[in-house]
Amino acid sequence: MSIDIGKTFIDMTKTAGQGLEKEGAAIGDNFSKVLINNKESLAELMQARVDGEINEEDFTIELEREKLIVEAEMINLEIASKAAIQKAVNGAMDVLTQAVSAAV
Amino acid sequence: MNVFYKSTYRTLLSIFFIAMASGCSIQLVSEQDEVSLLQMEELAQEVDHLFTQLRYMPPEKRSYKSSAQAYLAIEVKLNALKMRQEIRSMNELTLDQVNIAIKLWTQDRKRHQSRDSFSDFMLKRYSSQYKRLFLAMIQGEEVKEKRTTN
Repeated sequence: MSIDIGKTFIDMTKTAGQGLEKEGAAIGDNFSKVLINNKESLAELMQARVDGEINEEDFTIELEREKLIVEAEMINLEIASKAAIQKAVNGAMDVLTQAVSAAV
Repeated sequence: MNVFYKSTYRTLLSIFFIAMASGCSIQLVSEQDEVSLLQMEELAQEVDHLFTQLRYMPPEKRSYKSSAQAYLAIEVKLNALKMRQEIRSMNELTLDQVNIAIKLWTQDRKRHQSRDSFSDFMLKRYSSQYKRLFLAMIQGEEVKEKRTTN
């Protein structure tokens, strides 16, 4: 039995995109990036199940593991965006402070 | 007298603005922590060492017993990393990542123990997944602002 991995991926990113529509384009894009980066790993997993190299139980466990790792990778994106906002706001406040100090 | 008041006024105004600016600066995530970064890098290396060592062994020799000490050492270091994250303020996100690593590690150790074997396929996956996990943690830490020393 064979599996169309390319088509499965398009369907996966489409479904994720629909689920994240309300959260804004950036989150959807980031999730798609994480998914695309791990395409090879997920493709190997699907193929191994189709070929019978791993059983149903192992496949389910692996999918759960994969979800946790994607979650950790998405948390990373959240940290990066919060750090960027923090840096931008504090940078702006520094400019204000410097301007006032210079004027006083 | 006039000069005295003018100077005092300027000083008070400067203090006010410095205080206001300090009060207005926001903190959404913790500052970068060198110790945590080192702990993460060491853990990534030790986990990689364990899986590389297992890969060099013939499959029939990959018993749990052969790796039990390494599992224990890594678990202890993961717990130490978690403790360090718990004492840092505004650090819930990194703590979540460490909790994921601990959950996976506990689960994977039990799995190796119950099956007492490790296939090439699973070794390759675990090795690559832990690399992704630690890379996410390290990148997340590196993106945080460094403490500014005055």
